[in-house]
Amino acid sequence: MRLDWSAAGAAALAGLAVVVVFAGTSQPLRGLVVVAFVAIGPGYAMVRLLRLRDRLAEAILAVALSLAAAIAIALVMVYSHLWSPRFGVAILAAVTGAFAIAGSRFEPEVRS
Amino acid sequence: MKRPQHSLTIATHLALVAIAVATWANSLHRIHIRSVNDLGLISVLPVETFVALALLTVGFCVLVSRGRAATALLVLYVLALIVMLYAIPNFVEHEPRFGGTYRHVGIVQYVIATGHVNPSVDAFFNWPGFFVLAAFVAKAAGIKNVLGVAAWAPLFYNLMYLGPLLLILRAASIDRRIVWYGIWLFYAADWIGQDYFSPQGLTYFLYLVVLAIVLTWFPRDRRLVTRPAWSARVPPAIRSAIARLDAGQDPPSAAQELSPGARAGLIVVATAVFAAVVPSHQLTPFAALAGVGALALVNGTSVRTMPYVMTVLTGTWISFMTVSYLAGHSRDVTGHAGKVEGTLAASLSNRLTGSQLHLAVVSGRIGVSIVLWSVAAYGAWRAFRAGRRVLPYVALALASFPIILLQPYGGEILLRVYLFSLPFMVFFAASAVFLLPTRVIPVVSSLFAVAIIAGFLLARYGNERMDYFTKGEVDAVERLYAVAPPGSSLFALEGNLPWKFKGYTAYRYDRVVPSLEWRRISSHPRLATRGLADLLGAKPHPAFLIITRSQAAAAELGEGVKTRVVTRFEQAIVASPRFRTIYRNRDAAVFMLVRQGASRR
Repeated sequence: MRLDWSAAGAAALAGLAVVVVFAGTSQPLRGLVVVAFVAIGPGYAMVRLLRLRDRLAEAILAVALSLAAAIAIALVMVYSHLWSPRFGVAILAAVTGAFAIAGSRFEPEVRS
Repeated sequence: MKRPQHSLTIATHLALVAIAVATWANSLHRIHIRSVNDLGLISVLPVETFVALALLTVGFCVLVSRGRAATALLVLYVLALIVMLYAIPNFVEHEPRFGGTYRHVGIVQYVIATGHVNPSVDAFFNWPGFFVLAAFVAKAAGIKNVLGVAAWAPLFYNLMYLGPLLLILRAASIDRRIVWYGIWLFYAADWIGQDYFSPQGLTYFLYLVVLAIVLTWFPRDRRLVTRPAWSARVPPAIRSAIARLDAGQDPPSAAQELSPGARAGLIVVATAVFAAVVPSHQLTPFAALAGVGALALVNGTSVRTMPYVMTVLTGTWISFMTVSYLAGHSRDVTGHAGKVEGTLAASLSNRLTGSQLHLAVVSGRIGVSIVLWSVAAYGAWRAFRAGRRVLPYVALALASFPIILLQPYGGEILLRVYLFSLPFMVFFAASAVFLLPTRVIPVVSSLFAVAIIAGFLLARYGNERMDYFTKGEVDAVERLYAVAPPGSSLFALEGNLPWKFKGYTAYRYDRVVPSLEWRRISSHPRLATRGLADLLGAKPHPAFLIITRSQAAAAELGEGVKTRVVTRFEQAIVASPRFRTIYRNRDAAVFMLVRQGASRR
């Protein structure tokens, strides 16, 4: 098993986001961490699994997927009357962690 | 031997960008937004603003023409352009611009406060993806001043668009000059102004990403080419014409490098991103569907099942989640009923009652669009003659036009179609320029881009007199909310003002015009106050009226109603015993209807 450092970074950002949200840290730290995590973290952990070898494409898909995941979580919270943005962040963080672990378990195919 | 010269060139370009940005920033201090006339922002821009933009454009065109320019330098130029075109209002206006921004912030505040959506209120609550996302992030991030953040949406959205645009243009051409010049044209030509704090601003990014994925990793696989089933049924002449368009060289794609797992994963990603568009905006899913569908139809992609999946997703949302809205509003399913957008729509239709200067703006908008489309058509023709395979991108450029049929009112939808087709139009327009003789390319590319940017400044900010808001106007709305108890009726003469950013569902919002016509207000202002009192009196009490400078500006721009008509009417209301003046400053006034019984007490 090899650690995927980029995915590990996303997981670390996820952890940090959960901490600042539940601890109610003051601005601008809380705003920056949460916005950065929600906009990039979950998608990045997912996209790493695809091994695209194209940094630009990875970054773009990471943002799009992260926003899609956040929209999905927010819609579920709203329609199920379980509105809790803090737990929404926690769920996104868990998803990020799970994908980061999945990404680390699979050795990338070595190609010449 | 070339090194020193090369680093000198880089230093020159860095200096040029710095000078352009500094000149631009310095020019903004001298803009007095209050002096803006019916030509919009362009009427108050100092010469230096134009010089800075022209300088930046010429520098970029010289750089890009060489073909071997450093990517970092190109990115720097484009970032400077985005800031210089899209952030001007942030530095010259005191309050966030555009009525829609305030309304959307109000919906976000509603979700933050209540934790749910109210589908029976209006269309926004039936496609709430953007609003619940913004509420989720704002609440989790502890952002209190949503309006302050929302003001920067145009800058952030346009920065976001850069990534997928690059992917789309890279898939279209291996010529880096065309890719980057196309990017420049995109930002120079996106005068539509749908990038404010809005669902369509966000879903446009996702739309671009879906198309970028399909074009980058799922182009037609030549080994798998089969004639589409429908081609047997078309006349031979048309079939051979299509076959000729379809012939020619494909740019090399990234598709071959992918493992089957990654391909499957990318399809999941594209579907997930599209699935986020579906509950977030009425129109964008149809544009994305049209784009991918058109590609599949002309054999331009290997994911031919994707349009079916997209259709099912869109149909499912509309069928199950928007029922309460559709029940009452079946006529404007795909459109926004907002007055501001209605006014924009009028800008493109043949309305002849607006002010003369504003007609120049309308001509500018039509002019920029026609010039860009014409150059794009010429570029497509040249690329075809040069042996490139143009059919997929021609299909994408034209794919969103049939959406016009989906929407009841004409002008507004044309703007959206312009935007959806823009990435492909700029690709062909850039191709037109770079298929010219090499010697003339730096000059022609510079002149064309500068001309488009001049058109942009006129077209995009042409409604600025009604789109900007003053502190006095926002203060008046704040005062209105402070005095009006929930359940009150809040009236404006017409809908262009900075309100609804709080109490989105707590009040009954309404407009005086057209129930009371401008003609009556203009000819007999004092008599019209009686009509006004009757109108407000028929609604739940208490009833308030707010008049702002921005409403007068919108009436003049859109309908040719002179500002003095509004001023006289305001004076008549002040004098009328039926109204009490609650608040007044030089830009706005708030009145309360005096109930007939109450006035004698």
